[in-house]
This record gives sequence, C-alpha cells and structure tokens, in this order.
Amino acid sequence: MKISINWLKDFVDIKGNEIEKLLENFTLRVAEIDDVEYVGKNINNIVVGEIVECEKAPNSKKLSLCKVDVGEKTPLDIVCGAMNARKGLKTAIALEGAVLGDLTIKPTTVAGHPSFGMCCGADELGIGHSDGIIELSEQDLTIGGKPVKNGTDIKKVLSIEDVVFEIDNKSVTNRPDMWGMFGVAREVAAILGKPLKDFKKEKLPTKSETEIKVCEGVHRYSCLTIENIKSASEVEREIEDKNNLALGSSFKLQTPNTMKIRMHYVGQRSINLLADLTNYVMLEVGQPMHAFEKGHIGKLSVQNGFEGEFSTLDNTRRNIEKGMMMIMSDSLPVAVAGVIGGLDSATKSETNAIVLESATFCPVSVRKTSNKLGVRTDSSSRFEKTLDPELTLQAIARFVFLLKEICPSIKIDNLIDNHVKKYDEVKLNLTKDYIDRITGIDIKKEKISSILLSLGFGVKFNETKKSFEVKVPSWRRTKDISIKEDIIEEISRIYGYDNFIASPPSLSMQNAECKMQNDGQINSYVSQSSRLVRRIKDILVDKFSMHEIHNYIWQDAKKLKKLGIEIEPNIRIQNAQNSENDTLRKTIVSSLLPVVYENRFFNDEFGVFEIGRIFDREDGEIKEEMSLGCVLFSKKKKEKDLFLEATKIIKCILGDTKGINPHFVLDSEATFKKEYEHPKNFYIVCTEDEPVGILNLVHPNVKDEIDKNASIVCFELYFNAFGTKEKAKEKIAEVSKYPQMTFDLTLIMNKNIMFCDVENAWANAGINSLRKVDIIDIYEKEGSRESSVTLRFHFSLMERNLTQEEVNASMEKVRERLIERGVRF
Amino acid sequence: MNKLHEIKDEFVLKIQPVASSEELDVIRVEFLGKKGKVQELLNALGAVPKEERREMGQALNELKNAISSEIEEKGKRIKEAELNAKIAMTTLYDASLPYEAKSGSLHPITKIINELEDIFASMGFSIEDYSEAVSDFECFTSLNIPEHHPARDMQDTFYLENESGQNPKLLKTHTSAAQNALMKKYGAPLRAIFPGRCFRNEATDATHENTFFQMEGMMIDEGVSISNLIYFMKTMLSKVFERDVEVRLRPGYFPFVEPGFELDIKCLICGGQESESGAKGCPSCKHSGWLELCPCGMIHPNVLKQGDIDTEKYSGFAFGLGLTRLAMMKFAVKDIRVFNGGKIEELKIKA
Repeated sequence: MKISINWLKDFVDIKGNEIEKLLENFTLRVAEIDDVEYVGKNINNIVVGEIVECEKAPNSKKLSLCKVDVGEKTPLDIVCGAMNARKGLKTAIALEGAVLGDLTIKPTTVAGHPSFGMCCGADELGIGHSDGIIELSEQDLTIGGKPVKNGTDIKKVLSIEDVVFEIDNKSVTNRPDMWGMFGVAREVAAILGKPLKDFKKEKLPTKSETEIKVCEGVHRYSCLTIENIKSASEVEREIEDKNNLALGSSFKLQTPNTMKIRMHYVGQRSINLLADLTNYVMLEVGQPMHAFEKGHIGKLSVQNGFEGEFSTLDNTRRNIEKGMMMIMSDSLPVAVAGVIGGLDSATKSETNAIVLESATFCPVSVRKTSNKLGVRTDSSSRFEKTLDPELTLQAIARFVFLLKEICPSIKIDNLIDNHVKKYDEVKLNLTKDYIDRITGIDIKKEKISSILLSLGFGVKFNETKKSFEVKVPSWRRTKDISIKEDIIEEISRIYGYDNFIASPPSLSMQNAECKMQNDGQINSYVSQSSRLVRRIKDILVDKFSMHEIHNYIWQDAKKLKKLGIEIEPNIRIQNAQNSENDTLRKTIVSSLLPVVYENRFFNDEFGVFEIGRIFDREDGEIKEEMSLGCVLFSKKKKEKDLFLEATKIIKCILGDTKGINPHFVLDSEATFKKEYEHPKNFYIVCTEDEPVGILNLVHPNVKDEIDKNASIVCFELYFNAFGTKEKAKEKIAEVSKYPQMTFDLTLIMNKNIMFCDVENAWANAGINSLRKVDIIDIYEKEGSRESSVTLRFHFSLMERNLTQEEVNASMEKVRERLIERGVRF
Repeated sequence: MNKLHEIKDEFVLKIQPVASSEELDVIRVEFLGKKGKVQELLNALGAVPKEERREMGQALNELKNAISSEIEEKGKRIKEAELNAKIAMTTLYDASLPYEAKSGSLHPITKIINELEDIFASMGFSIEDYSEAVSDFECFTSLNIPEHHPARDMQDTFYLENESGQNPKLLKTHTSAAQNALMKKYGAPLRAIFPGRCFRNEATDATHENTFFQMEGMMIDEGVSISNLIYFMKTMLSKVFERDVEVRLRPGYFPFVEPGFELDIKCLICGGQESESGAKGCPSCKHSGWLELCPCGMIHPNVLKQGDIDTEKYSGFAFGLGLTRLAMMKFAVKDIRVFNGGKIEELKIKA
C-alpha cells in the first residue's frame, strides 16, 4: 500500500523531521517499508499560464496556435495539440529549459509555426493520466484566499513534489486501522509525539426509519441518498440561463487536481468525480464505499441466495454462486458485497444523484467470495482485515464534506443504518510490574501513558495498585488487540526496540535434555536421533566417501518411469500441483535410484545416501519413520565386491553406533519385494532379535536402464528398528602379552553354502584361545560350483604361552566340525 | 723395522684405488684382521730383542692407529660418495599431479544444521526432531492461528489423504508445528531447537521451493523478557556468522507470538554502506542495508497455555531460522532448487 507524505500532512505536522529518519523510525516501530519514491523533484521551469488567444492552425485538425500569458509583458506563442486548449483556460506551461522526461523545452517551430514553450498534460508532469492539457480550477488558483498570478511556479499551485512510500502489505494484515492515510498518520503522530488532526466531516441527518434487510455476514450497512450533484458554476449558469439547459451539460464535474495527484501517486486511477471520491475516502479513512446511480436503485437489501450471471464494473460477466453476499435492488443484484460493484448501476460522469453505500462485511465471507471469483480489489482486501464498523458513518460524513466543497448545493436524505455486529468494549488491566517483566526494561509510567494515549487508547493509572486500566479504541478491538501482551507490544514498539537495553537471560535453567535424563525418560530415539543421524552421515561421508542427497518426500512418477518403475501406491497429497508427484515415498531407495541415474556420468564409482522420512499406512493411520537409504554404483568393481562392500558399510554403521553385529538373512522368496529389488539377491538385515533393514542388488531391469555396464547395490536401514536400541556396553579390548599364533586354512565350499552356516564350526566350538578369524582370500573359479575361502585363525591366551600342540588340537576340532557342515579342504 | 715400513708402504699403495665399501673391508681384514699383517708383527714382538722391543711396540701401535684412522676416513668418503650417487639416481616425483583423496560430501543443509546444533548445544539447548506429517492442531490451532486464517488455505498447505475422511494430516508448513508437543513433553523451563523440513504448496523457481528447511528455537523460563530475546539473538547470530553482527528488531505479525518481531541483520555483503555511486546498500539487501533473517517473538500466552505451561509463572521466546536461506547466503547458492536437485556435482562445497 502506497502512502503519500503530502496526504499525511493533512493530519499530522511533520515539520522539522528528516523524511529518511522518519521512514526508518516507521519501519522500526510500525511496519516494513518496501520502497520510497521522491516524486516531482525534477519538475522545474513550469508555471501557471493563461491562454489568452487560441486559433486553429491552418491545415491542421489538431494543432492550435495559442498566445499564453505567463506573467511576462508579452504573451508567449505556443503551438498546442490538445483538444481542450481554449481561450481563457489556465494551464501548466513548460518554459524554455524545463526538462520533462527525455524532452528539454526550447524554442522551436511546429508545422512551420514558432513555439516557445509547451502546454502540459498530467502525464507529462507525472501526476496522472489525461487526454488533454491540465485544466487549473479556481480552487487550484486560490492560495490563502488570494488569486494566483500567471507565471507562478506550478509547484506552488499543485502539490507535485511528494514522497511516496510503500508499506509491505503483509506486515499490516493484522492492522485493519492501517489501511488508510489517517490510520498511518496516527502512527506517525505517535512516533513523533505530535497531535493527530481529525479529518473534516459534514454533519449527517438523523437516521431514517427505513429498514434494510441484511443476511448473515453483514456487520453494518449504512447508506445515504445524495441528490442535486452539480458544480457551483453549473448552478450559477443554470440560474443565469434558465432557458438554456442544453448548455449545462458541458459543465462536467471535475475531480480537484489535488485529489487526482494524491490518488495518482498512491496508484489510484481517476475515473469520474463520484467514483474518485469514494476511492479518495477509502484511501484516506480505510473504509471502502460504493456509489450507486440512484436511478438504478430500488429497495436495497443484502442477500446470499442469488445464483446466476452478473456483470461487474470491470465489464466482466461473472458466475455468482449461492452463499456469496450480494447487494440487491428489489430482486436484482447491483454489487458483490465488499468485492466489486455492478456495471449497470455504476456512476458516470454525468450522474447527479447517488445512493452511497458504506458497510462492514464479514472478512471470511468476503475472502471466500473474492477467492472464488478470482477478483481481489482494494475493497475486498480491506474487508478481509476485519474493519471497524464505527467507520461507516464517519466515511459517509467525510464523503459529504468533500463533495459539498465541489457541489455546495447537494441535497442529502434518507440515512439508513443497520448496525448488526457490535463489538464489546475491551478494557485490560496490567500492572507496571508485569510490563517490566515482559519487556525486561523499565519504561517510565508517564511514557507508557503518553504512548497509549497517542495511539488512541484510554489510559487510567491506579497509584495504589500500580496498575494501568487500558481501554482499547474501536479500530483496534475487532481482532487485533485482546490481551495484555498486545498492549505491551504497543508500548514497546513505539518506545522503540532500538532503545531497549539487551540483557542476558538468567542461566538458572537446566538443559532440557539433562532434565529428561534425570527423569529417566529417554524412551524414544527422538532426542537422541540428531546425534545418531550425524554420526551415521559422518561415517558414510568420511569413511566410505559417499554423497549425501536430499530428495522430495514424494515419488517422482516421471523419473521412476524412466527406470521402468511404477509408483508404489501409498498415501497421496490431496492438492499436489501435479499428479505425477502426489504419492509419498515408502522407501528412501526409491528416491535415490533416479538420483543415481542422473549422476551416472559423475564418476565410475560413487555412493549416494539420504536420511529422511518414509511413509506408510498402518491401521488407517499415517505412519512416518526415519530411514537411511544408500545406493552404491560402480563400473570398476565386480558386482560381488560391491555387494560385499555394502555389507561392510552396514556392519560399520550398526557396530559403531549401537555395538550391533548384524546378520544377513537371505529371503529370495519374500513377497513384499519392491519392483526395483533383486528377485534372488535379497537379504533382510537382522540384529539378534529383529529385522532392521534390507540389502539387495538392484533388479537387473532397473540396473540396465541406469547403466548396463555398472553394478548397483542398495540398502535401507529403519531408524525405528535400530535407532531405539540401547548401545551395547563398550569396554577396552584386552590384548594378551603372550605371542599370538596363527593358522591358515583353506576351505573348499559349495557355493550354495552360506558363510554364516559354517561360521559356528569355530564360533560355537568352545575354543577359548581363539581370538579372531580373518578372511584372507576368496577364490572362485569360473564355472565351478565351489569356491575356496582362505581363513586365518588367531590364537592366544591371556595368562600364558600356547603350545603348537594345543593350536593343532583346536584346529583339528574346527576341521572336524567343518567337515560335518559339508566343507572340504 | 723394515718389515714395518714395508707394510706401511704396501698399505698406502693398496688403499689408493679403493672405491667401494666392499673393497675397503678386504683391506681392513688384510691389515687389521686377527690374522692381518699388523697383528702378525705384533704376535712376533716376543721374538724381538728386548732393547728394541719397546721402540718396536710403540711403532707398531702407531702404525695400527694410522691404518685404522686412514681406513675410517676413507670409509666415510666412500659412504658419502655412494649416498650422493644414490640420491643422483633417485626419480624426481611430481607433486603437482592432480591426485585427490576420494571424498564424499555432506549436504550443504546438513553442514549448516551441524554448525547450528553445536552452537545451540553449547548454549544449553536440547536438539529435537519432529515428524513431517502433522495434524491441523499442531500446525495451526495450537499456534493461535484461527480457523479462517489464509495460512490454512489449500494453496499454501499440502493436505494428505485420509482414509477415514476426517481431520486430514498435512505436511508441516513451519517448524513451529513442533512447539506444542515439545512443551507438553518437557514442560517449563525449556530450551530446545528443532530443525526440520517444511513444505509449502507453491510452484518452484530459482527463489521458491515447496520443500525447505527451517530451524525453530524456544526458550521458556521464569522472567524471560524482550530484553533477553534481543541479547540472545545477537549473541547467537554472532556465533552463527562468526563475527559481531548488528541486529535490529522491527514489529512483525505472527499469530503465535506477541509481541512479534522481524529480525534484520546488517547486510553481510555491503555492511549497509553507501556504494561508490552514492546508492545505499547493495542488491542483496535491496538497497536497505539490512537483511531480513529471522522472525521471532515472545511466545503468545495462548500458545503457552495450549502447551500446558503456566503463563503466570513462565514466559518465553521463539524464533525461526530459514536454514535453506541461510545456506544460500553462506554458500552463495543462486538457485534454491539445487538443494533438492540431487546432482552430486552441484552439492559439493568447495573452498
């Protein structure tokens, strides 16, 4: 929303304040300012001039040859192309040396006629849009009761120079009172400690007995009939030439230039006097208004049962649905309540009688209607903020005042006012102590009172209770202010956060996590998870050179399809932007496979992982859990080596973080396999008592889509399964002082025997001197059904030397047990 | 005596051409060995007439020492020559070859989160994690966001399908959605941060993402004040940016805080200084000299009450840091889509 400093000056005296400083204070105390424009600064050498002679140029339809009095002895010759150039017109004249945009005025000839200046239109001066040149009115040309001489600087006559700043709309969504110049001026007055001048209003007649029927959602409906809308000169002329009415129609009602300029600067286009006045009052007071041409208005009511087409002001036919509030004249709609008026009943430049509406509507209803119709207007966006119903009559009174200045002979009648929703008075009591506690500083009570008073609050201080009784003004109580803290905000912000002394919080408090441990409540992984997650990421990155990826939490149909994978049905997002990514993921690996595809040229070998959320439905409820997904890609390693690498990584993660030594259970027959999982090489990762993850080769079809020459292995570990486990107790490894003896043995095993099936040949053999067994080598001859595995057995005792005989005896035992398990040597 | 001179001459003659340690060893044995020439004479000393014996013995010893030191000298020179020859033979290695250790990479957001977690842990905050699918109550109602607030509109929030058809869950639009649960879980006093993914239903472009990271923080205790909040935010941000930052608070409106603020920091690029052309600020701060960084405020009493916190006794503040934005600032990322783009090359952080 744009604000004009000139306009604000009507209500508050800002003399002696640097504009920049004032705007900075506004940002710090009221609302964010997006942009500041210093307009009209470059307008120089432009003066008031009177066209004393005006002749059509020969051989030209458009050009007039004017003689213009600019206060010099002899009038200037100026050629003018505007249609409204005429004798007697006073307008703005750019003299030699004036700069208007790219144009510098200098003596020239136009179509062979000499011209020593230029008659200016509003657009040339940057103060509006117009077809012709500016027409200065008597009002414009009277300063302090005295007429202005020709040749006077135009800036003395029109407020061309102004500072216009734009308030960020988002920062005042909670401030219905701030959507007009007057409300902004109140804030400025409070910042500066200056009084606020009220806007001038006309006294309104007493309310008429006429009732107006309104539906639910109307907070207040006020309207006034205004007739005999004619300019003063028109009235004079009518009296003079009672018999010559035709002449009267050429006296078009003009919006005063001052208003036009102000409205132009804040972004409001001039339409016609009556429409302009409703907009002017809205921009000033914050109350949207609408003027209906009286001839189109019968018995008014507000209803929400209308259905059908309706042509709005912007010349668009719109579909009105039931439930949308409409202003009805008899049985015909004339406006969409709070949003936009109707085309037929709109005022025109020749309108001379209106019904002026000033109402307050329910914000939710207006927002819904404006969203459905896709029309957001200055009016609807104001109603959405919950306007103060007290404003309706004030706005009408202001409108009448402004109109009467232009048309002194108007007749007002039939003031209708149906005030449905009345807000309760809001009074809040808060002690000085409480204010001090929340602010953390000591703002003097006199300062507190003066701040609140300047914002329009009522304040009483009770000396014995050291307590303020604060009465909230009507324009702040519709939704903005209801509790003590709201009052503290008002005091603090005007006092200025830049004036606050910062002080450290007292450190009496325990760390929440410590407290929780004392209570023995660590029963979820949540508070521990960040440490766990971080450790796992470090292991994967530092030790295994993997890359961390973030994916969206939904499956990407397009990308999966490229790999020949269909989306796995799961919980869907109701309102996703497109249906190709509206289904939440069930595994992290499903997000990572497309990532591997897109990075396939990154390197011959790489690994990617993500720790994120996966979703599923359980008993109709959404189940969300944290999961680690990894995919390894290699064009260098054999598939087997890559697969074994993955087992190493899993062991390292589980061993490091939880002291778990997992085992891998082959489950080729599993029925819950995903499309991308290998039909045969599919393992469940298990701790002693339960499954914690899945390890598998990527399905050959998917793998080939990614890269025919690569091996791809993936695994997924579920945090709910392993993250909650308590870490096994750790202790330092005791090493024997006596020398270690080793024994190498090569096993010849049928390929369908799993290592874990032969492992217990020594693991459970009760050999207490056996320290560890390492794999030295695995050899698989191509085509052979057997593989040879060379193992190194390490023996030692803590208390004494071992003898060779003892080692031999142990190995003999191992050998026998291995033979039982189908191993040859 | 003649014999002695003979040996001496012979030695001088023989040692002359010696060029290797091996040859030198041969000579050492020949002259100084147990059966060497000098020893032979020493052994024969008994046969020398008594009056000559003393003189002879002395001369022999001198000879032995002379030979020995000569051999030692020669040995040193040979060693040195051999070493020089060896060094001359060594290959010169090229350290400028572009070899690099194979290395993985943490996601830039993770880097930021890790840094922040360390800072907050050192300030006594606990670090919490929270789900991504939350209820309407968690995301809105508990945060004093009324039923018809525009934030709840379908165009801003992703709602999940619900089989039962009632109260659909939604993807959390801000990390504030965890406030209520954490207050209920721990009660007051409380200090916690909770980083997490947030979601907004909007079209993505270089500066807009539907999935991004925030980090919420809360501090609730007796007598926590606006003054404390200002102090804390300044201290915390100075740690985050590893330099003293100037901050300012402006009024800001968020339903779950009262008073609410927008916190700005002095632009890190231009420092709020005028440029040479006389214009204030720079493009990154939109010529204001300040960067809007972090909404914050005193937690609204209704929000505390919903979290079962005694508002007569406790007050607190909350703040929300946009981690994705912070990462963009810190790592000079120009397109926000990089973070969820999955391109390893684009996610690597370089010095």
